[in-house]
Amino acid sequence: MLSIEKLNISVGDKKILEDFNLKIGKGEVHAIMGPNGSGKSTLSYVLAGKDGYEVDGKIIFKNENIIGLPADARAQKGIFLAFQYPIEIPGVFMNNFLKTSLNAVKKAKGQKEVDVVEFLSLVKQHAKKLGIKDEQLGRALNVGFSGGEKKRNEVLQMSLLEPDLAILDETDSGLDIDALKIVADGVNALRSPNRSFLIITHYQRLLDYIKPDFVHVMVNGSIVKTGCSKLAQELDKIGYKEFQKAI
Amino acid sequence: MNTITDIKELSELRAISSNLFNKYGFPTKKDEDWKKSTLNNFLENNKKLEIYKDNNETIYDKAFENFNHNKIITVNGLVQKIEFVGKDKDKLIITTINEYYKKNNKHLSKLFSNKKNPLVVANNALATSGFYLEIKDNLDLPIIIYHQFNSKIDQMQLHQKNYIYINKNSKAVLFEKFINENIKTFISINTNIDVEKNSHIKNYILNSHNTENCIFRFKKVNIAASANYESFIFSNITKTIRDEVEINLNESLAKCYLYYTQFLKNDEDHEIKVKINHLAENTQSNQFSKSIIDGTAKGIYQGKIFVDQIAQKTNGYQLIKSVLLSDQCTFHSKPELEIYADDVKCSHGSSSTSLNKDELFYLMARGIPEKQAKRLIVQGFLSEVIEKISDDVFKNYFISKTEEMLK
Ligand SMILES: Nc1ncnc2c1ncn2[C@@H]1O[C@H](COP(=O)(O)OP(=O)(O)O)[C@@H](O)[C@H]1O
Ligand SMILES: [Mg+2]
Repeated sequence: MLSIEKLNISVGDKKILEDFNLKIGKGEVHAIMGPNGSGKSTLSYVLAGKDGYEVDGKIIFKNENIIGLPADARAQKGIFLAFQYPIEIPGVFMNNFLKTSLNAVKKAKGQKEVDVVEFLSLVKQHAKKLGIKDEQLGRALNVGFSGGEKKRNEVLQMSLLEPDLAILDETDSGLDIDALKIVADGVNALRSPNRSFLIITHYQRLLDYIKPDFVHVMVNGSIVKTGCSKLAQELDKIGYKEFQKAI
Repeated sequence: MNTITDIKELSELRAISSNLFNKYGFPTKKDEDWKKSTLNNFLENNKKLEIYKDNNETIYDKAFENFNHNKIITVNGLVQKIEFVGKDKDKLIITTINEYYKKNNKHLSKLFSNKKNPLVVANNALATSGFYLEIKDNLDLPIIIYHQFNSKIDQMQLHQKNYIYINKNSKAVLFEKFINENIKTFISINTNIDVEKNSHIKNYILNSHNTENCIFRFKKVNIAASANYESFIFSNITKTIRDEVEINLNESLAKCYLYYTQFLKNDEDHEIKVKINHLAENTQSNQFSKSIIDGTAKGIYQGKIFVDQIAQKTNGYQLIKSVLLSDQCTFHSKPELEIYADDVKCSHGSSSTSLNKDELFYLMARGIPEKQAKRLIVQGFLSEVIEKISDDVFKNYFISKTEEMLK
């Protein structure tokens, strides 16, 4: 599905990722854990196609090097990023935004676009599962949403767009335990042999609900250790200090 | 019939204005209020425009809106057709300004009093046409004034003076639509509006498809106790237009709301000048403007709030925002406050930014193509002002105009 080879990312003089390598197979769930500032969000942005970084190396997604492709093209090819900090856009209304997004992706995939009626029934169905109120769908995008509502809104978009690769950047932070369960259920419902996940998190908590196939520890822009889901539990006890020392 | 004949009192007033106009001439860059104005260039290059006086006109009826309304059609400044509907017929009076002068010369000095603004002085001296409109009571339907200008006035100058009087306890919506052919004309429209006690007037204006004309619109609005004046000006594809308004909040609980949105591209420009005079206690003013500027276009907003020493408990609010889409476009905003009372709440804010890259990335990361994503952001930005329009029919009208404009 995804193969990242010798990826170097910098902004000006600051190197953020160095010789980063990662392979994610079809249907696999990978977790990346690491301390603040290790470059996790930057990795997710670069995978989604954000401008403003010097990028070197290869990002092979479904057998195609996507470096240089703009964000809209990557989303249309099936990459989805759930943002750590979803932005508020005043005046852009949820329903209109979601429908525009869904139809843009459908169009790119050569599928039939949905009309208003189909869209509304689809979005309500997904929103209900995630505990998102209809009233919220009539509001401006993320404007006045609580931290938890913003995160749930990210998962709503993910379930609508049905990506092949979903990257979740700290979708668990800021959620109470009930909201965390709802989000985890939303993610688990999407797990399928054809869909891969990259879950970036700070805490092991989320991984109790979404069982990863692999756990990677990321420090200072590189992966320093890879293991199975047990590694997450270890990390929760010992923290990242040991790995930071090693570097 | 339509032209302004000379009544004795009027000719005296006009002689004064003529003398002043001879002294001032058209405004230049040296004049503080006109420093950044693009009207100067036009007037500089077109000094000898013939004054238009004819009155045989043809009406362009394709511009009519398809919802029910009271129609006033002016062509090249002259009222050519009136169509009032149902009960509204008894609540509206319209005559030529000339007829009005003949009967009511007590207001003349008020209408011709401006001695400072060179283009208003020119209008006082040179006006050849205009109407008097009286709204006597609550109207059922909106009034639409179709201001049509055609090739008959190419390479000329046209000065129109109007007076709109809104009787007490009346509610009305007045929409003005400007329809211009591609002509090179200086059009000056000076409108005095009196809003009497407890009346509410909503004055919406569509500036569109003006690429050659130079248009100067000056409105003076007097607002009485517990009366409201709400205006919204939507500008798109406009070149060399100056919209100027002076508002007098004369009595307690008088309020005004001035809303503007504009989308300027290529080498378009639009200037807005606002002066609000708080002249009594408990008065309120609100200015909210949003502009999208692209290409080499130029936007200007000069807004001044004056608070007289007796105008305690004044509320004056001004927010001017713009988004610049290119490196070569400009937006100037000049807020001014002059306050002589001490118990006053006044605030002004102004910001000019480029398109938010993070917003753009978010939308594109959801598969929305760049062009469409930009359009969504721009539309969202402008809609914050449009949402303030208190008449739902026109709110929706301008929402669809915005969508059309961004296509
Ligand atoms: N645009 C940028 N310019 C300069 N430094 C940046 C930029 N973006 C991120 N960084 C820096 O890169 C490092 C990694 O940041 P980030 O990817 O947000 O880490 P994480 O998500 O793991 O907390 C931090 O030191 C951060 O300050
Ligand atoms: Mg981060």
